[in-house]
Amino acid sequence: MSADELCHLTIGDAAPLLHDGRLSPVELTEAFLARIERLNPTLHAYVLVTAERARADAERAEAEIKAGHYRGPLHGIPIALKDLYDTAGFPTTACSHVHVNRVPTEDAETTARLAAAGAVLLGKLTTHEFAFGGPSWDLPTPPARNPWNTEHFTGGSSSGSGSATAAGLAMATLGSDTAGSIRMPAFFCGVTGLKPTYGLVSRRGVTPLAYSLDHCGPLTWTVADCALMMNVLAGHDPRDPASADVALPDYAAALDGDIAGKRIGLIRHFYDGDTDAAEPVKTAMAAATATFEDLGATVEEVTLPALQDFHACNFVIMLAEAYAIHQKSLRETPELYGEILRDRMMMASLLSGLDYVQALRMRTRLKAAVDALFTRHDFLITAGGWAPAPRLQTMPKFYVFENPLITSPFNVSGHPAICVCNGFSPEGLPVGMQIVGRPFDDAGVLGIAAAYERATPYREARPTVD
Amino acid sequence: MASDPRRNRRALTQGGLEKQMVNTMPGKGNDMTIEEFRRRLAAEGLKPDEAALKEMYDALPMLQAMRARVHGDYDMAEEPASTFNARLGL
Repeated sequence: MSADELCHLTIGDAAPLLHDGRLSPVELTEAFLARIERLNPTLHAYVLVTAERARADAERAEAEIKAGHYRGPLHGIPIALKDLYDTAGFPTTACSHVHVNRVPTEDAETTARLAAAGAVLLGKLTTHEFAFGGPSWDLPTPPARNPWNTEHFTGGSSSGSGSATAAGLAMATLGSDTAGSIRMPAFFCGVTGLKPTYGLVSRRGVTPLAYSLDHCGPLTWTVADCALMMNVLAGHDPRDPASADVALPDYAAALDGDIAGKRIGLIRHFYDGDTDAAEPVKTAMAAATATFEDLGATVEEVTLPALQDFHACNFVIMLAEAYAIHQKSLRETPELYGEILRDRMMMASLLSGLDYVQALRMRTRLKAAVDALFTRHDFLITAGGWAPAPRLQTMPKFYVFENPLITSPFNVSGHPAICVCNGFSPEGLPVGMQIVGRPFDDAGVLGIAAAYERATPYREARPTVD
Repeated sequence: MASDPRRNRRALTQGGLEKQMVNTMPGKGNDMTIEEFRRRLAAEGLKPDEAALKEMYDALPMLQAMRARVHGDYDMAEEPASTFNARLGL
């Protein structure tokens, strides 16, 4: 197997090889480091490559496995983190000049969990500034590029996570999602991105954008790899005030189930009504609906409040909470911010306490509307976005204010939502579908996503970068 | 709050970045002058340059459109999603 072929293994492929000694963690890690060195100057997915740390992690994993101390499916697996996740001794900058010299002394809870599972840390990944300002060319590092066509956008804010996962520059990555920042890069880059139920994965040690909307979760090539990541990431963290103390299933054990008889609600109006999505998105959703019916599920169209209501609720809360975080440094050192984030945050200063509380009251209504659908349906599906990735260029600074993201409703409601690839445009750019479940039924979401993935061919081809 | 496509929908333009610009939340125009806008920011300790100020002022209707949407007709008993939970607060 060539070095590049090693980089296109899934975790599910590599783990048994590592366990049995047929693949060395050191060899695997060196293959990824070489590929990163070759392709990152084009893709800009990494802002920091922790090569020495990665080699040390890999050597430790190899020694432990040889000694019979196999920790589990992530042991020896090369992963990377969005540059919001604290890494003790390594910079965590949020891709901002504001934090350019910030070196945490403690790992984020999620960083520590991955290390304890034996994962190999390859480095830190590009993000929009503080997960909200981008794509920008006035930050310490340039925006990431889409491996399916490097002239195109990755989506954000977990831009490096989407790019690296698709390009085989890490077997799994972590992103964060406040309005869609895991699922949008998954949509644009053709990978799998899970926004878990709010409270299921710790946010502690992850630079916040908006406390009540932030979710941490994995991006991987396959649904099965996402489940393997969740087996390590999910769990109560008493030091995260929003962390839920709930019983945890084996997420990887939920993937082989039969979905016959499952009741699926299709939220068509989010992409065909409230917005008018591009034809590849509509075509892919129609085909996905037919696939679920072929698998024995029933699909019925359902209606929620307008996407624009979810968007307004999401954005008023997000802007207000983000401004509370950035107010002091925005007053004292505005020149350290990128122009996009700086001006968006200045706009946020105009929101009032009344605006924020009314948005939170609206949130209660909107969550109830989503919950109500789950009395008659097991899962909901809708598009992940409106159109394949646009060209990467300077975007209007405030386009996010008036263009509702189809992902944002489930940040408002907190329900688990995964984005999986469900087709390609005629130009070869991927599109994706969201699958949404009841709170804390992340295993069910992964199960139905895995069934869809098995029934479709979209995991067969990787992007060709070089 | 049922979805009303006539209210929300706007045709997309074709191709590239423009295809992403759905613009389904058009504002209704500014409810403050640019001088009032400048004073509001200054009161917050924020002093953008003139170009940024003008750009933000032009975008103000988008923010106002979002604010208008969240100002619903709520019953007194309708509590915000953030209502304090003593169990979670411990």
